[in-house]
Amino acid sequence: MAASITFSSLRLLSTSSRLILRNNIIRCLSSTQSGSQLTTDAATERDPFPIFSDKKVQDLLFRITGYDYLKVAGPQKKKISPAVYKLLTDEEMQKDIDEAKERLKFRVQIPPFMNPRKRHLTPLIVDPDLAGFDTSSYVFVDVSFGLKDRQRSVLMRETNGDLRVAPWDVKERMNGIFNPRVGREYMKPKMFEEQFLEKLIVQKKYLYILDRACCQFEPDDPDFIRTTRRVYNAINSMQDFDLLRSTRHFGSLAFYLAWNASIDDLLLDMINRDLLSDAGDLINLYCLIHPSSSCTQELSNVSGKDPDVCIQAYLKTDSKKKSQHELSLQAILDARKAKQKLKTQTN
Amino acid sequence: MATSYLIRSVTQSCKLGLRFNPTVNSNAYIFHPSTSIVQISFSRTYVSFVNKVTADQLWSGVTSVSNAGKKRGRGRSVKKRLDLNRGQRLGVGKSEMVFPGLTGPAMTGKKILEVYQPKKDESAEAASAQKKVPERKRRFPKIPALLRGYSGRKFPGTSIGPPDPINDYVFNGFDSKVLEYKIVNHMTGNLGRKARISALVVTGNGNGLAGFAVAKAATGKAALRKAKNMAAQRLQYFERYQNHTVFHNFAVTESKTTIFVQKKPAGHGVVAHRVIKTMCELIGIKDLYAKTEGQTGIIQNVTKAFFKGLMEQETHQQLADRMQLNVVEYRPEMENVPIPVAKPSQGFSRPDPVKEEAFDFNNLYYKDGRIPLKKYVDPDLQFKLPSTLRYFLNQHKHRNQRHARYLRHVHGLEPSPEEVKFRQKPLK
Repeated sequence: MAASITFSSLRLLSTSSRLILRNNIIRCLSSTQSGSQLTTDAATERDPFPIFSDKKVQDLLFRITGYDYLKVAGPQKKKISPAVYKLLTDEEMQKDIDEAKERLKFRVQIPPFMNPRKRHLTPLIVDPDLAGFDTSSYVFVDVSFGLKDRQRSVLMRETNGDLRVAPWDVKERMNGIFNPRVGREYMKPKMFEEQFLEKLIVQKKYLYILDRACCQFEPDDPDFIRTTRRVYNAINSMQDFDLLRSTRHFGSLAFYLAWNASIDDLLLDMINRDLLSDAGDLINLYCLIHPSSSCTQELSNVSGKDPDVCIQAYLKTDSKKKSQHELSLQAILDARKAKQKLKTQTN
Repeated sequence: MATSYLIRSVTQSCKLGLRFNPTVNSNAYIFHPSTSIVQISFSRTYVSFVNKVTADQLWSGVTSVSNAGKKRGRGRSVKKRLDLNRGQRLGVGKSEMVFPGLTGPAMTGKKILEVYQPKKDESAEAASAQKKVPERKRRFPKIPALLRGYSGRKFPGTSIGPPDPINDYVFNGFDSKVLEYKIVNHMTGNLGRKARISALVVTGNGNGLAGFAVAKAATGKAALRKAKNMAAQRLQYFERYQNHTVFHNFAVTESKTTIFVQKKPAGHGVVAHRVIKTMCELIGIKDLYAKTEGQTGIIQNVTKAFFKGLMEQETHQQLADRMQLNVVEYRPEMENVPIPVAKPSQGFSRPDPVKEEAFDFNNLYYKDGRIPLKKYVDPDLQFKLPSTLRYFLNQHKHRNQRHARYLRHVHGLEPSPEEVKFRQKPLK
């Protein structure tokens, strides 16, 4: 463990480092990894992450998202350069398209849906003898090769002599210094402040905000959670769901709405767009998240998970916009029938 | 008093147009107090014909042209008569003295008036002063920069509006631009060299429809109108790739003019001969590169060549049908994923693929197997020459500085440039 330790502090002092770290470092670090004493009110709040990371839920979310490979591909902001043209047979073209689809699949990977992280409150070591050793705190960063940002230990010796796990903002700054990433800025961009965020939301730049939030923040950062939830709420109220389809954020949006039991608008949008299988998946997701809801109980009696059955069950039990749902569903079914009729007539 | 009165009246009459020798001596005025009569002697030394003829004759000598001259087009730039006494009133001088009996009534009732200077009304004077300076009209009104043509205040490159309606049909969305405007001459038995104006005009709706025509007329206005309306009757429709560029690279020759046209991605813009640029605007081509070789100044040939080249293009659909294969596009900004742009009309492709060596889309449409020479440009050239390397290093140390400064200002770590400027001002 702890192969190398570097110092980073407001003042660069190296002479007294040994003195300050005189306690057994290994003991400190191991205690951070095993114990990590967090604040206590976590127990009362339900943790969405285990449900979110469940394979069943992930499959449902991926299906709901849709996968239009052309929308996933771009256009990206790049220096313009000429296109290449090829003459391909059907087989060659299909093979190319399949390859491209596989290649870009990582673009729709859904960012984790987590609760906000908690502050570390309890100090690892209280050492009153060291109180007043300096006017500034010392930060110790583990820069071992191959360590990921989330695994990295960052400790802080405070001026009162306490050694504690560094607060999250200090840890992020240290990560930013020792492992800078493209798109992640050292200082939090101003656009995530409420007043500027509001402007962007009015301009419907949801995708831009969400992409940048993914770059800038960890998924359990309170800022990430605040920003994304704010955008999801705006999208839900403006019914702009289609802007997020075939992007990595649609799954998060659906999960957020299902988690808060407010899938009615999204469901209506899916029915209106004749995406009934998606609607069925959404209701299944809702049932997985809320096992004690009346819709889940209604569906538990049914063996097959046919989308129509799911929708009918949801309309019967938990729908908050029942009349609208029924009207749209009827219209779509009528349109389908008319289409089939036309087909048979032409044949 | 009387002296000044009479002398003034004489000088006044000089002003009124009586001809005096300009070399009049002031000693010529002789005053006899007893008779109050002024004798004036004139020294009659004639200097030039100017003294012999009337003003009217003088003016007509300067301004008139003979009938024969008029016919041959002379006298167009002849000067006009000037009123040299403009702004002057009869009997009124600068000081506006009143001379009773001359410039006003001699008596009021039985009282004989004396010469006096009335008080000036200042406001009236100011008003008249304002009136006296009429705003001179610009001989050539200023044209906004975007409405100007290629060069100066000449016609080529300027817009002359949509063609005139034909019966009920109005050319909505059309615009016409002049490409060439020149004087052409021919010889006649009677008049000799007779000049006319020749104009080449392109008209188009910016959406694939365009035409061009040359017309000649005695006046420029008529030539432009004629050419514009003729162009409107010779419209051609050009298909464009995704409404922004040509379908493929091609070369086209007309007479001694050759144009090499290259297809370009969206955002590139039109980089071409100014005439080709204008035509692209009217046809609706937004991205293209064209190199004009040979006689690039013969505008009519450049125009003809470009229209011919566009007309002879093969669309992607035609290519797909001809080869029985799918035409697939790979764009870098789309992560080089395959984008099918045309499929064979029969619904399926032929089974055997085309060999990669045999197919090069970029050079597919050059005739006779001759392709344009592309000179190799060393991408690392800037690191090889000492001068360019020095320039690169000079630039390199400033990289990102501007953006970093901006970020420092945004995050409140540093005062803004305006604030710094304000601080640098001296205290008052």
